[in-house]
Amino acid sequence: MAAIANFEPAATRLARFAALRRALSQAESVDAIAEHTLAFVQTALGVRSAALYASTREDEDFALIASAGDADLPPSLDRTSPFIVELGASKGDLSKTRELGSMWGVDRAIPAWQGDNLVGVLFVTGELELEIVDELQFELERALTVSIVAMLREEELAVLAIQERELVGLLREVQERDALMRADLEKARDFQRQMLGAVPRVAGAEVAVTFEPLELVGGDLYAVAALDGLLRVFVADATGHGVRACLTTMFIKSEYEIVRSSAAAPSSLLAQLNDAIAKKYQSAEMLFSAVCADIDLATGATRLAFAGHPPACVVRAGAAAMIGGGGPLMGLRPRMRFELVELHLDTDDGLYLFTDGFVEARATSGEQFGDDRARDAIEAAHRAHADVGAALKSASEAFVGGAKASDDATVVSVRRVSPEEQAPPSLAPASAR
Amino acid sequence: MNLGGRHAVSTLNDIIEIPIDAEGDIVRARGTGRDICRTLGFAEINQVKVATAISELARNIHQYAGKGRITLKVLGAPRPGIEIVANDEGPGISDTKLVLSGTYRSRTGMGKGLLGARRLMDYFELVSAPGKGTHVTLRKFVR
Repeated sequence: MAAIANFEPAATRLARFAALRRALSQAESVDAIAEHTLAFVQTALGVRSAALYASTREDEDFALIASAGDADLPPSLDRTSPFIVELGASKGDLSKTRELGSMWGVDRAIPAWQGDNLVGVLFVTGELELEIVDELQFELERALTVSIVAMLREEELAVLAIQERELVGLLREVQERDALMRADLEKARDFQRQMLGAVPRVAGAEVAVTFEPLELVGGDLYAVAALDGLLRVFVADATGHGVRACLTTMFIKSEYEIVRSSAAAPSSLLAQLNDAIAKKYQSAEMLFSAVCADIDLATGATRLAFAGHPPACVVRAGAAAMIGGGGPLMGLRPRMRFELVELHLDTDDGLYLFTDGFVEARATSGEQFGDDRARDAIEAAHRAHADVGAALKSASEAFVGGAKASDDATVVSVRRVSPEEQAPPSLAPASAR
Repeated sequence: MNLGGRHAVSTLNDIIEIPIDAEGDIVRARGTGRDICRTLGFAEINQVKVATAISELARNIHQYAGKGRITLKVLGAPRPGIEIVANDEGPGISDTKLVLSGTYRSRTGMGKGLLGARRLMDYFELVSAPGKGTHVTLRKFVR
């Protein structure tokens, strides 16, 4: 009976001041919690004085948030002070609140916990039953936890906002750098195109070039020149692609220009070029494949030499065949010998020199476009008097389907024509794109 | 310790002071802080956190006070790390508790940088009042 008698007044008082409790439980900031806690303990519970300390971060001391009454208390409590350490060890033992309060001359020091972390201390002076202390502690803990969680969430949001701004800034920087590099590459492309030059108009042959670097610049190189009725065509493919390969083509081109007019035959041209490059550039950086062809525009006598290069395609009397190919790679070591391949081109026959780009293109299945399909595509386009380079490109692209091109591609097309039938020279540039 | 002449403005016993007068100084303070963290052996993610906190403080100085300074200090034993102090004599903050509680909403985003910086670091202290400028101390430990 006595227990019920003790319990009843407490329950009645708590019910009567439900509004004050609700206000405490709905407080969002630590300051509001302090204000409502003090109102609650003073009005509802009749304590004479009260003070709330809180520390919402583990690295901060406990600061006096609000106080009411005549208690003489410091503005903050050190985390490492004996009082806080002992309070921190008192979890689950409400009876210690009196003993701890006496250290400060108050009736009770009521701890508030968030999990196992001490986040607040409420000092009260005035008579309170243990059940009420328990209720009060519960409300205070709930309110402080909500406020800590809200603060942490705000901090997280602030970090996210900062990170977002940083990312946007980084993205802009990357885009600016990208635009700058692209502009540089475009200049390099224009320079490479200029170096490769337009295809000359020659009497006795129709010459066209398809030049398709994988990126803006590439490692393919071609040169076409006519001298005293002899058409000399050179096609080379530096290892790799992109800027490095493009730079290699500059060296090849300058060395080629030195030997171009002195070499008597394609095989000796390749030998001289190989010697010059293998001696000058001894690292393996300057490796490339090449094919060179001389066509006597008056007689149709044609001679070719290959250096680690794919075969050429010759179309005679409307029938295409792959010829030559192979040989030692250029730039590996000096004093290499290159075989000469000889054939005859009649009027309306064609000779097609190319790098491996279109022929070795692979479908997603891994299957290569290959020599046979290339030969058929060239033959059909040659017979139709179509642009053979463009036809080879579209046949190869149709074969690989969605697969991305993986190498530079170049085709130099030569079709022998009788000078009388030849179309008058036009100002249109070579089909080099 | 060599941080490269580009960043170091004045060094004395591993203390580097970087004046914040122009927008470019924010990047400089950030880069210098990151260099120090790298030298101290901070994990990469923490280098980024410190650099981000520094640029937030520097940005606050630039945006609200116009000018001020960031001081970077290497902390030795017992707990190696970096200390960042941001000082300005700008308008100051009237209610630091409100700003740090996260309940303060401003159109300029004032306070966001401080809240974020606090989250990113191990130690945070803010001293500010109207007319007294703003003084922030941050610390991050190597581990």
